[in-house]
Amino acid sequence: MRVVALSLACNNACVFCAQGKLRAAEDTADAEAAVRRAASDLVKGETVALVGGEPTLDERLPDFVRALDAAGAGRVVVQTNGRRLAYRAYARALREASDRLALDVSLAGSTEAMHDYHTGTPGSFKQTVLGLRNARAEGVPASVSCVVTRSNFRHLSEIVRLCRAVPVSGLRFVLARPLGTARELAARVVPAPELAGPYLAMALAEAQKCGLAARADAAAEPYEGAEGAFAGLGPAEAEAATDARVAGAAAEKAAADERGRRSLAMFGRPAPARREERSHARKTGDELRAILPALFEGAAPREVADVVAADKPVSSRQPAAAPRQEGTG
Amino acid sequence: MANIGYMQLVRHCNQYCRFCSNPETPYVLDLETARREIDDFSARGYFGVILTGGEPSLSPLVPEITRYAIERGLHVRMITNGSKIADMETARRFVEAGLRHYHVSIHSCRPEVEDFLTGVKGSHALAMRALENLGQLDAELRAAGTAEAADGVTVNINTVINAFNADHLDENVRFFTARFPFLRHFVWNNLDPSMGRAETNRDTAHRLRDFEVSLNRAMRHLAREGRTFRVERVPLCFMTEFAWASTETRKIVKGEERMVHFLDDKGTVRQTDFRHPKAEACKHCSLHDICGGLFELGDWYDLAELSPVFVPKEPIVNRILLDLDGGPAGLRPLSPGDA
Repeated sequence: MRVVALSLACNNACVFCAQGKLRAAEDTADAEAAVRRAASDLVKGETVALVGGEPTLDERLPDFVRALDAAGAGRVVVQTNGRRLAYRAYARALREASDRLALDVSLAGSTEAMHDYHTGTPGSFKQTVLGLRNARAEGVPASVSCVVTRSNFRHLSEIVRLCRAVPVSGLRFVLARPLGTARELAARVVPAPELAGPYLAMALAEAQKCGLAARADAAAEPYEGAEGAFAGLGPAEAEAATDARVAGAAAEKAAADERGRRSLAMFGRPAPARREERSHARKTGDELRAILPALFEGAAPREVADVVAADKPVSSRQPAAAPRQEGTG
Repeated sequence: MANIGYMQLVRHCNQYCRFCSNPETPYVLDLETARREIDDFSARGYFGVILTGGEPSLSPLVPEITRYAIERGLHVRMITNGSKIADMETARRFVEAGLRHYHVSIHSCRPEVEDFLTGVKGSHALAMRALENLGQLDAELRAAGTAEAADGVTVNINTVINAFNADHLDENVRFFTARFPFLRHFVWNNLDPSMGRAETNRDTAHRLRDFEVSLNRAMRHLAREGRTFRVERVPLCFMTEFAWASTETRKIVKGEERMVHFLDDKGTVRQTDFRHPKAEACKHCSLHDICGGLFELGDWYDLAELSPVFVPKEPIVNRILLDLDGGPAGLRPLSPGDA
């Protein structure tokens, strides 16, 4: 399979986006030249994947597809969020460009709330699902890639059922890896494989039961098979270590240390607390009245928040962290 | 509503836990003050009291306080490290006074870890002996067959989740349930980083993800065996499948409160709000309304670890309100026939 990266521009802002800050860099890629090069180099019958960013944002996409078809591509796979296909005319324009076109559509949730949280884009779920339906109506084969995160792993079977209902031609689950935005947000995004695993197995069994071709990949490598339906993730911001969770934790810890959260190694005798008073003296009787006025003087009990605030040492009071931006990848 | 009041009997202790949230002060509760506390809880309609500390079994007043609370209609339990009831005579004296519910604090089934955490060599062995004694007294009471003794002795395990046990919470429950089959209920308290000794011993610090898998395994093990458990200060995205077992969530759903009489200058503290800080991402979460969030913003735990989940909230709320897992009686909603 030949992968052609078009622009990195995208109209979603996914929490698991592997491209992360690459997208903020100035886009100097010459998409037209890249397609021309692929068209002249390709072996007849080869699959070509067009990846982004979001390829449908490029007005020339139907022309690119047409050119690759004319050059003899066996299959042209467009990796997309599918939102633009919510416009039926656009779906038709793509279909008319080539009957060897296939779509690899990214879906991250079985509900609007779940998917839109992942894309950072309200309304994206409705458009993506409508896009899948329009592709179906136009006869363009569309498969779905689903990045598995801490927030959706419990719902993979529901995603299977949604895909079956559309229906789509195939479904692939990919565990989120700490690349790009998902690296920055690893603690929030990357699930523990042991916890996600059983749900993944259930989803694959569900897919088999309802006759949907589904698979799970440890990594989002470009994948040629199932008619070259899946495009992979395209350019990623950085290479990941082999164990996503370990790498993610290490990155998180480094970031936390930079922010000033430090764990001191103190494996010897424990230090006393700030307000610890160790002695053999015992205070009772009248001395209790002084600290328990609620019992002796009818004073109102204190509220927890006030106690915590009052107890805090000045040195440990940290400025409030800047609010995190959602899905800026 | 099953509100429970906390009575600190003493604040000294024969252990020196490196994460102790109520470290030593010179104050000790006397009988008159204890009675006032009990009268006050009773007047507030509380369900029961928990004797705590410091190590409450170091107070000579345990039997008298227990008897007085029972007279006033309160359920009595004690949180203890077990060192004193490792002595059978003491254990029997407490049980005969009516103290029939114990939360024994044990943080690791590995002796070297337990002794390290408590700062006292041999504390693991003493805790084991305490459990044996309580198990024997439980069996004796049940064998007696009288109505008064029918419920035997209830023994729970309390564990503070910290950096040194975060990876083997499941090993703990497997060990304890195999060796002491009479244990029916486990309580995990995620480390309270806001005050106490944990603040100065930051080697006890962990990340939430450090315990996520082992806590999940432990909860699954107990659920499979039909045992119950509660988890405090753990956000629901780290215990989603068992959200009904979150102490904060249960209190939010049932509208419960709790009150503590501290033996330090905090004095009497009443807690009616169980919501802690949340992350920006939490606003997407389907459990936002019933989640306690993350204890102590920024100082220790990291809000960046919170992730929204999208599971339905109603089954969790219903499970808590219907009290489906045999905890203390909760509010029971009217059935359609009662409306």
